[in-house]
Amino acid sequence: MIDLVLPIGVLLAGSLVVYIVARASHNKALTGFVTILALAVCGYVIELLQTGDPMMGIPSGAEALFATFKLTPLGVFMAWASLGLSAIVALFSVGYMSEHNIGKYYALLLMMTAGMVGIGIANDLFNLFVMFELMSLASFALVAFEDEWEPVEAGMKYVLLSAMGSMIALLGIILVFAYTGTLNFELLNTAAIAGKMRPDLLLGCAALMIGGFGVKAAIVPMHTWLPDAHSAAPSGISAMLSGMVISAGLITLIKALTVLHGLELGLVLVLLAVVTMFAGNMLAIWQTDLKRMLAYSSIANIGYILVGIGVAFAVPEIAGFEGFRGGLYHILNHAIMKGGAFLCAGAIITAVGSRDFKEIAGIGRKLPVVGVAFVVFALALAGAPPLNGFISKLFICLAAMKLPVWGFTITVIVVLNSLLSLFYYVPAMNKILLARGEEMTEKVKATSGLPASITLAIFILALLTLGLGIAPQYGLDIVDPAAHYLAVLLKQ
Amino acid sequence: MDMWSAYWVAVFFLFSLGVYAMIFRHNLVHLIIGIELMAKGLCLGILVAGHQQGGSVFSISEAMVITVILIEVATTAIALSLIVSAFKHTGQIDIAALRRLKG
Repeated sequence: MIDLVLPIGVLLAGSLVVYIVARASHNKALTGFVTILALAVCGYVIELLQTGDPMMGIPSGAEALFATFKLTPLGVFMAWASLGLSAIVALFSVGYMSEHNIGKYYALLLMMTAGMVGIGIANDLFNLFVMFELMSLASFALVAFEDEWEPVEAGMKYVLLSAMGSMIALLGIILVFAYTGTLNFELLNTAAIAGKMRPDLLLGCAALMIGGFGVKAAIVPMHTWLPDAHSAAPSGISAMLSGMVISAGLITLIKALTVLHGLELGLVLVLLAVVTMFAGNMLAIWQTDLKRMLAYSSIANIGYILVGIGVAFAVPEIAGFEGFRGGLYHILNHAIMKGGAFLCAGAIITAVGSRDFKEIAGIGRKLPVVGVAFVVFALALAGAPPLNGFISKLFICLAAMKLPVWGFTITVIVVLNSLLSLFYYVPAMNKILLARGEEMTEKVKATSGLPASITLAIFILALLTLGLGIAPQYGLDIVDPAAHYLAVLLKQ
Repeated sequence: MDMWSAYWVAVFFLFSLGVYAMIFRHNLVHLIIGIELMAKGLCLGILVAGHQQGGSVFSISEAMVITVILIEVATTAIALSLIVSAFKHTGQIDIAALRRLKG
């Protein structure tokens, strides 16, 4: 019998251990190793919980109100995606971060991962909110990790917008609590309790939750914090933020919306998705800063994911499974390819000390692994076959086609946006890999190798990008049960 | 107007006051106070909701309030430390001084 609090407990205890190890040893490699060990133990616990007999962590009387945690297929999906990316970022950071404050860095990384695992397994709205805040608090501190004006300004904006969003979402949760007297997902899904909510109130709660959790998920027009925060954070954290944190915000939103029955939210979500896609891609074209461009592209990718999810919410009987499958698979693929692209940016910053396209031109010739890997990630993000981004966009388009009336239009918009993203990925690839000798600055010419851990982390993600494109069934093994679980939940 | 409606009016008043501060104030400390006001309104809301349901729900709502206070204090602590850093870099605690990131 294993308690369901254990996966989160392992990570939180791990963050304390990591901090002590870093203070005692002043050794980056050892600290990184302990971090990865904590993540691996958490993965092992999740595996045990899947096969074993999970036990509730609280006395039986209170279960009716707060079953707190439950390991659903969606929780398993979230756990694997966040633990995997977090482990690769921990590996990357050994080479990327300076030794100063390394203990705090890894401790906060583990706390953020604990929040994400918690979001997956939370089984009532309030615990979902608490885990969401655990993730947010760690990410605030990580964005403003360096005490310079750029991270401080970006962090300040991020804290203010995010805190306001959280409070608005909490208001929605409290209104549900006031009318039903419970926050447990299973109880809220029973007809007797769902009937207690008035339709106008349901609409208000849904609006508050979309507005609140949408800030973290960077749905346009609540996206304004994202480009600053992603480009100012240390590169490993940018990869985490872009790969998992905004997706975790979206998962939180989905979990919260599944308990509000009898609302026609699908088309609203699809409309938000279309706006998000266009805004992200259009703004990315004008960027001269590599990390800022990738940050805007994250907004566009949230749009693609939201198309799949919106379609599933709009027509759960016809396209519920397909929509969630496309959305969740794109979350996994986006974590891999955008995580990889941000790690490439981090490698370039380590080598050249700049993120400006003019100053990093031709870096791919000096660092071939980073250059080629960046091209792989950029092509995957643009949706070129046979890479993983193509497969998940294909699933999203197949789901969108099933939407009545608007299906074809939405599919065309998704394809159009994929083509639009080539307008900024092709110049970026060109600059990084193919720039001629005269464009290269002295700094680029003087570049020699990188720490092995950086190259290794990027190499692993590039292999995964290629692997999940050629053999998508391995990724679908964890995506399909989660998509099926959500689709069944919506049909009730 | 019964007693419960009066409580809910207080909840929404506190919350809207916080939202007002977040939107119209320029001083960073005032913005933090805005977040605090929103959170305090919500704490009251949780207690009122719990009391309306009565019984064991009320004791759970008390536990929820303590958790919300904890979260809000952590947020405030991080935000205040960022204000100190921002003051060191810009010499002001005005949100308008933090306008260098654009595009």
